[in-house]
Amino acid sequence: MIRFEHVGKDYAGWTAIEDLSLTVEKGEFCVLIGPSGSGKTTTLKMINRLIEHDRGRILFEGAEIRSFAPEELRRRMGYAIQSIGLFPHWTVEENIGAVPKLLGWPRAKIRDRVTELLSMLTLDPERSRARYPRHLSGGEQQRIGVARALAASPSVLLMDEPFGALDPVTRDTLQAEMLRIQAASGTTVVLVTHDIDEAIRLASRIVILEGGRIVQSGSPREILASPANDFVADFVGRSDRGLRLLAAERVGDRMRRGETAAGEPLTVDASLREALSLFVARNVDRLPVSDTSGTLVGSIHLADLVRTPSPDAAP
Amino acid sequence: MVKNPVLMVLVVAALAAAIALPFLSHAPNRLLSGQPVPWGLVLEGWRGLAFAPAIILLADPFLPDGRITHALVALAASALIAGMIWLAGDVARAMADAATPAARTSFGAAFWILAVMAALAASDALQKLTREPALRIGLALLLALPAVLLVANGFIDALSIMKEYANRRAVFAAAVTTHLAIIAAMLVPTLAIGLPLGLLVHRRQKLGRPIFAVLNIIQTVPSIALFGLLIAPLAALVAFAPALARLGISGIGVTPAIIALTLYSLLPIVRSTAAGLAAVPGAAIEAARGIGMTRAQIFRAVEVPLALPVLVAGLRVTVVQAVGLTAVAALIGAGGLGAIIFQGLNASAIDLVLLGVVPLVGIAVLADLALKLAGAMLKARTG
Repeated sequence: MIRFEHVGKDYAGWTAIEDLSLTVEKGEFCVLIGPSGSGKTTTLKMINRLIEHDRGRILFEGAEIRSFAPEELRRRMGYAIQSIGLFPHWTVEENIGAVPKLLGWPRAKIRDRVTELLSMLTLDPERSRARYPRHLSGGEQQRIGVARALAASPSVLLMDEPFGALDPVTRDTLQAEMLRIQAASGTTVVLVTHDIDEAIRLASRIVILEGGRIVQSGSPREILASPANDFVADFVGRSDRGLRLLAAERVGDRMRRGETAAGEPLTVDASLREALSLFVARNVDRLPVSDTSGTLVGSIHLADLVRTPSPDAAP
Repeated sequence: MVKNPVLMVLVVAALAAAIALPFLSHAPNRLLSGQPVPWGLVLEGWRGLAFAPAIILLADPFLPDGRITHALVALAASALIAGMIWLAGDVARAMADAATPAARTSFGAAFWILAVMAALAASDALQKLTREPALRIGLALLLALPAVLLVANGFIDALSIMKEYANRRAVFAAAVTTHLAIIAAMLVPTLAIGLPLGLLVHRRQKLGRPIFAVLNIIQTVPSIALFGLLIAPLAALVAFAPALARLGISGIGVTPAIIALTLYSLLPIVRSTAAGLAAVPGAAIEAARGIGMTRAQIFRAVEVPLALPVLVAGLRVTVVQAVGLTAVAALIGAGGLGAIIFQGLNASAIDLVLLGVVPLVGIAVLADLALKLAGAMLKARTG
């Protein structure tokens, strides 16, 4: 879907991106992470030409991005940023409908799409659509920001620390919604963050950058299990690594099907970290597991958290 | 308990001054300075009741703070002004019967002080009464209605200022029209030059310094001097190209007035254009770029509407400033209400001066209110 081939970017006197090669496959949730100045935002903005690369090639759906007009390219990609940047003089409906309007969709189609997106982001369409951004909470504003980015069903969604300015509870809710939306729509997402827990939670692939280079790229589990060097080990947290490793896996991958246990069940898509927390809080060594609809499907033992997963354990 | 000591001191001082000064003055003819009409004559019989609403204004600092109090104060102020106008008209009529036709009765200092005090009290009360600018302006116009109706229906025709008006109805109408026309004409070049210049200053910050330096210098030139300075070059220009004279351009008159007013107006317009554009949130522009708006689309759909409230505030300053400066332009033959004022000054006929000044203030206040309303409505839309 997106392919960087030996891409470089220089600013007067210093090199922001050294020699970056990276392929983001269709449907991937790719999280770029690294400390300040590592080049993660530059990398993201080069994809929709908000920043032009100096060396190498960047391909979008097989074609060099410079073969598109920048505006045309951007309209095919969703874009959401930390500061949100809603248009304060436009209603929620006009904000969300911005790209479809640029693309010349008929009014009725825009209206339907706005209704669909608002309900997808758990906002009441009839109550929200005519309101102005200043009347919304931070979490609601960022929901509208994400809805605006998704409005024209882009094949790629670019997000620059979209949840960075939100309070922990709102951030948690929006991350869960983002995962659900991405799973349902199959949109390719490239997201920049400096929050390793956010990366582990959202990413199907984490790309760690430092000084304009990729230090390591892989699934959250791969990165946590075998950090490529001391920098990555430090970045993912030496003492917390085990917990984060648990956070990167789902209960459904380790559970014992058909077994039962007493108590309130966990769902299959809860993380192992949540399971550990429950084991300790309830002072038990086994917990029942239900599927997302609430039907009991099995159980999980405390010992299962440290067992290496067998290939047939997948649900 | 006094809630507003400043207001109370102001009211007491105004009343003291008002009692010491004449409410009306009377002169045998328009060129002689008037003698105070004794308060005893003014307040004769039941006429003194016209001042009754003043009691509410006096009591205001002691009344509980609430909507009813504010409404009461606003109504009392309106009634006081209307009452004083009626009273002045009534006294003037009574005196006119006894005197020769050339005799003149004029408003005295006490009238003006009390009228201004009442207007301030009304404006203060309206501000506390509602935050909705449209409603506030509507109520203000409604409160002014009784006074306007009294004047329009001839209740003060016996007063000197209205006699001056009766003597030059046509001149007065032409002066008001000219005055408004000069301001309207001034706005065309002001906006045509000022808006692009403001945009330029916003886009190229480095150019801001020299441009503002020049505009600031222009602003410091006294208006009389600037009007005078334009006479020679324009006269020379017309002598060089006589065709221009046929277009109505000359060293004196409307042309230099419009040029000078434009020069003065550029500073507030350029500054508010640049300030309005600078106040557009950077995040909105970044997002607009990120979702694929072209530069022109960002300018039209994001920057202009968000900069507009600040720009309108600048326009308000410009127009109100121009209303006053246009009066000075009468000195170089531009006409307008200034011509009436200067004619009055030359003849030492104070009421003729007032015939120019009162509508001048009225135009300035109305323009201010209208543009304030426009700004508030834009602000409500853009948040």
